[in-house]
Amino acid sequence: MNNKVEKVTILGIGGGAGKIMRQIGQGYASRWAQVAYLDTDVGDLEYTDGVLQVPLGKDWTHDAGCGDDPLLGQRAAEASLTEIRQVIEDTELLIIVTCLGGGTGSGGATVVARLAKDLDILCFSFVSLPLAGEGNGPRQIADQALATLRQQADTVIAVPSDLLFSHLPADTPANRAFELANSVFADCVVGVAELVRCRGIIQIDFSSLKTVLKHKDAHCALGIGRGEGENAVQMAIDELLQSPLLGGKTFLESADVVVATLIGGADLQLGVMKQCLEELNAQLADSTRSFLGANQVPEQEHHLQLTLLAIKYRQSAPSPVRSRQGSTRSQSLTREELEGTRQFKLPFAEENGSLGIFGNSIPNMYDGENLDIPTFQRRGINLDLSES
Amino acid sequence: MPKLPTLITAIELGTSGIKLLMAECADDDETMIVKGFHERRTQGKVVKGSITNAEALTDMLTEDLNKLEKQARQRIRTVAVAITGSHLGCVNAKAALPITSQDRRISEDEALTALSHAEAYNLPMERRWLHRYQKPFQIDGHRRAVDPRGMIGNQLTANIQIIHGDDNTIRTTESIIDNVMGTPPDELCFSGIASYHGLGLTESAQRGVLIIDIGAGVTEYVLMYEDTCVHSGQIAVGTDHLANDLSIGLRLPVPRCREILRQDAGAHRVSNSKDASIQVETMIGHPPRTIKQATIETIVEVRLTELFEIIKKDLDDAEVRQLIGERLILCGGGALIRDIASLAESIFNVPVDIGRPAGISGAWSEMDSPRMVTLVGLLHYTRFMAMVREEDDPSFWQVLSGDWSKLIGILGKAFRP
Repeated sequence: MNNKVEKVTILGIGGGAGKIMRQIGQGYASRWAQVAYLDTDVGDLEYTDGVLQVPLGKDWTHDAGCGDDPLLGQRAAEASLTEIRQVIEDTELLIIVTCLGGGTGSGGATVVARLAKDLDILCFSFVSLPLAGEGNGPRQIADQALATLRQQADTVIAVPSDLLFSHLPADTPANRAFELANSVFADCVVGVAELVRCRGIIQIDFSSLKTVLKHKDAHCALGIGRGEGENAVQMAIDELLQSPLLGGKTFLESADVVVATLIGGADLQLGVMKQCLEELNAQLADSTRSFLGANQVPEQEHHLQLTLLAIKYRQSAPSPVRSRQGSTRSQSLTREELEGTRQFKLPFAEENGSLGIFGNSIPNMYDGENLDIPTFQRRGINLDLSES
Repeated sequence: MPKLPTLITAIELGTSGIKLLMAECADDDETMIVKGFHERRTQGKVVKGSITNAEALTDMLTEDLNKLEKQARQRIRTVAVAITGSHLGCVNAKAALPITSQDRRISEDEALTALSHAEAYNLPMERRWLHRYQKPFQIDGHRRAVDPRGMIGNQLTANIQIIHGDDNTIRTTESIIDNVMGTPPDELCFSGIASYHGLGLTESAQRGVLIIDIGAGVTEYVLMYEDTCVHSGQIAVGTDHLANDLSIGLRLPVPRCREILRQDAGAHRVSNSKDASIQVETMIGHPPRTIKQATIETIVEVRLTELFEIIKKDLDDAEVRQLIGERLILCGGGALIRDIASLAESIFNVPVDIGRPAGISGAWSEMDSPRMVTLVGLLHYTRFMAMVREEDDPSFWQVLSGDWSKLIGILGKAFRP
């Protein structure tokens, strides 16, 4: 059976992702992954060298961006579905990169994720959330987009932007700080791609990985650690555990699934590899299901890079499991059942929404959803009811 | 030879209400002249296209038909009723016939045999067919042919589109009419097909046109291509769902939301509406509320987008969406929502028009509305079917080549089962 990932696509959407895609495009990942960037603002596209560029929804936005309107972003992406399909259709693993809170990314990411779902492509979404200082507007847009995206993508890794800056000294110049934050983000994205792409010394069983990652209702955290020299293993482990995006050692200990990849140069020794993976295993609980892989790439000569994705199911067995419409019911499912099930079908799923005048009529079911419930409720859209 | 009906009464028992239209055929044999029109709300007697209180509806209809007769000063004669609701369905009945002759030339007998085999499609006992349309033949599984006679092939496949419904539900409608009129209706017609006839399309139906009729409780759609119905469907979602969504989202009474839908709602957000708002009276004695236009449009847009996406997916699943070569026509009350055409255009990527009734005249301004397309279509459909029956046992090839081709009676049989 062929479990190898044939093609990885890292696809950025929206202005915020542009700078990150530029960094990824210039790095070594562009040699083995397709790096693409979609935006409604053609001006941003022009500054993204080394990346496959796709302008979105020209008729809707006139190449001038979405003006922070996610609906416009969604529409622009829908209008360019054919082009997007051409970019991703041969892909085995799609990594969507976007910064939520604006228009194009918040609206377009869901469209791409849905298309990936239709094409049965394993899809990671790697999203950054707005800085706390950016105010309520972007935060509300981001929250809404994140809720929608979680329904479509197999795995969503949401990174609060504040965390990206947390490890930088306070006196870092602002421009440099953003550059470094983007760099951390880009490294994480490439690290995730490496996790799955890895088919070097120790291969990760892609089909098993696909099964566990298709479990939608999970909280994901990511860590990345690097080391060099004699003490490279310890340095990488320490940096990984202190990684601002991992959420601390406690989160790692409570994770249900851990996927880790060790990347070294051609000089990577068996002893080092063994020590590193053992050190990492020591940090995990006995019940944690782990996928560990190792690979050699020439760029990592004399260096080690340990990338880790930790997944914690929100309701692991036998605690309540979230149904499609958001209600919770107690189910005695074993972990194996949880892992082997792509979508939980619960008897008598309770509806989460209002029926209004259709309260007494026969439920109008379509694809597991009751169409009598307002669409905005089923999609988790928050309405602006302010009078000002 | 039966006489063509000249005075026809169309009845629509819809979710929004009872609509009655009496019209007489003009001398040109194409235009119907309105003699009387009556409309009233059914107040929950029909929900999502299904009758929930037959007794009350019978009383209402009796009263309304009496009013119509008085208004038109004519006795009701021929009656046609629109059938709607989620009980309806469609199926493509196929029958393949191997061509056994030595030269493999398809004969007329073989074509007729393939058709009769397709026509013999067994619906479940509780189902009943309303319409059957012949679609082009297929030779050897891939070559299309409207008239396969004389062509060479190994296998001939006949295709018939059958629109069917739940027998008991249809009988309920028939019995209501029977109770009121003393005789069952002369014609029963799926609302989507009636809408097609009400739009007076000729060339569009040849090149491929999708008709979406958004009613109060049900949305019906019909895809016509090469003058035949290639696909149809209905979803129990209509403008009542939009009003209900607005009511829940804005915390307003449903009747007030119906007004908002008629006056202030747009089908999608436009950039200049970001800061626009409307004043809404809520209850007597309470100050009016200010509601952002964008909030209303968001509620409406997400619902309509979902509705159109469901239709699009159904057409894709049936592999017929590519047959919309001409345009999409929206009708029904939902077609009156501002900007709905541009929203539909963005989803289906075809030109979109708002349909209005064709071939109707008379001093009734209400008729010039997308809401009346089905009702007017019922009149035209009844005339059309009478003309089909007037042909005294037309041959199969006459049916195929005629303007009213492809409709079954292919074999010259009566339309009704």
